[in-house]
Amino acid sequence: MKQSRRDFLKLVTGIAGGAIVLSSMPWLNTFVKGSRAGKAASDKVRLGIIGVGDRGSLLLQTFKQFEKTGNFEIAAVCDNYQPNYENALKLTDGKAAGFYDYQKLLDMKDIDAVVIATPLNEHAHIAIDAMNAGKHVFCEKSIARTIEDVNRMMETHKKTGMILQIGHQRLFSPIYIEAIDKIKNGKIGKVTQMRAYWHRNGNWRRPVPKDKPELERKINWRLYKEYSAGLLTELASHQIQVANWIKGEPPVSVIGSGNIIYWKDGREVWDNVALVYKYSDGTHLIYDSVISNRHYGLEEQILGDKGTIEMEVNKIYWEDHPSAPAIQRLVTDIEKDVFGSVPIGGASWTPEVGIKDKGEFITGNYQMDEVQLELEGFVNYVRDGKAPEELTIQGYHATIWSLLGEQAINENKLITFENKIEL
Amino acid sequence: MKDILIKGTTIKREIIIGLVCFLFVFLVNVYAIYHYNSLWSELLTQLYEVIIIAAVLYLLIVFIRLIVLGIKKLFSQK
Repeated sequence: MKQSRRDFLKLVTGIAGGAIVLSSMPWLNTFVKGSRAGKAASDKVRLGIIGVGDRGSLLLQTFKQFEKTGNFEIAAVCDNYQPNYENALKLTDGKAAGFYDYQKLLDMKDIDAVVIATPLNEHAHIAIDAMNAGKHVFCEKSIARTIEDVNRMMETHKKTGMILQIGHQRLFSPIYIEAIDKIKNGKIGKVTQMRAYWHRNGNWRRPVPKDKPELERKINWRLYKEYSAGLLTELASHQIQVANWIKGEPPVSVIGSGNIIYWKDGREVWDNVALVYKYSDGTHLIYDSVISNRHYGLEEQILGDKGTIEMEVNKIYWEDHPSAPAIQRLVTDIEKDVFGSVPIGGASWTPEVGIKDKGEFITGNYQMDEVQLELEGFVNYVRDGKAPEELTIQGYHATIWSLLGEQAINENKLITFENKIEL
Repeated sequence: MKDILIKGTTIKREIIIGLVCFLFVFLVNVYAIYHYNSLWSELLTQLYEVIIIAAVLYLLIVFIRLIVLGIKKLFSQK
């Protein structure tokens, strides 16, 4: 069953009408208040996109999907890599102004906000410059490459009052919204463990022109520690954000291990990581990521004493199932007595296999694009001049704890953290 | 082809056997509900299963009766 826009609004309204939205999902209010796409020219939001590589071009194409109803305009694009620059202009049908230097984009007085989808190490200085130039910012996750840069961005956000929304699209996903609502309402009981993993099978490389090997670090920045923490900042941060969302707080410690055991091709970031995050009540988030086997794909598993939720496959499973009717049980028992074998020797122990249960869907087979929803939200917030601070805080904790995971692996010890900035 | 005449008494007999089968299985269900401490609403919700099992039991009885009839005819011919 397709979940339409109307179904999504019903879902959000149903939740938003209750106390849950005030405590954990205040960003959904933008959808509850109704369309903020005022038709006046003064309501039109003018955006610039800085970094139009793989992710940036996906964001651009997503913006185009609701361009006609959203009352906004992609007024400028910027990328210092020629193929990306040309592609970005093509995607905007030549209507957007094109720049190689982001400072020139920021000089445009009529740009209200920027979307930053550059390599991770460039997020900080671009976002800080943008906020200081009076532009609201949507910054792809993770926030920045170092904790120091994260803190600088947060301080600039506080000082300037500009929006700093981080690209954690699961915050806008109908599946996650409904799953979190069920968890917060105790449907799966007390959450005692969370498990998350992201498994791929591939070298994670992007093609580098053969005649330009010097572009290796620019194009494959995800593989080098100067620019990225690899699996941790590019993948794990999404799932750490989900775990934090469920617990309502960040972890208190992390310990872990990471290695390059398969893709020994000159990369600096690990190709497999395993971490254990601990929360204040003792709950663990057990996390691992590999890029040499994709059998299990990706998942966030939330284990409660009454049930289990698997977010990515949109499923909920129950610990207890109603017993079969009495007459069926009697027939089964008679069959066992009459036809059952007499055990003579053999196994004295059988393994405790998991419950074989197909589970139920958490929500309808929706076709809503959560990336579009997060971008719609951003446009609305820019029009309003403010965004729920919780969105920024979610991004902050997810980034900090993915970077602390890197530190735990580097130092081979348990890491704790104390916030040095006011949130 | 000869016409087969089914007497009223035959029909009455088969109905009674069918009802006895149903009552027997119904009472088995009552016992099962009591024994497994299940819900008494299963007397209604599982009625279709009771009917199916009773039908199977009836057919089993028909089968046995046909075999007994066959054996009797065999001995009477001898």
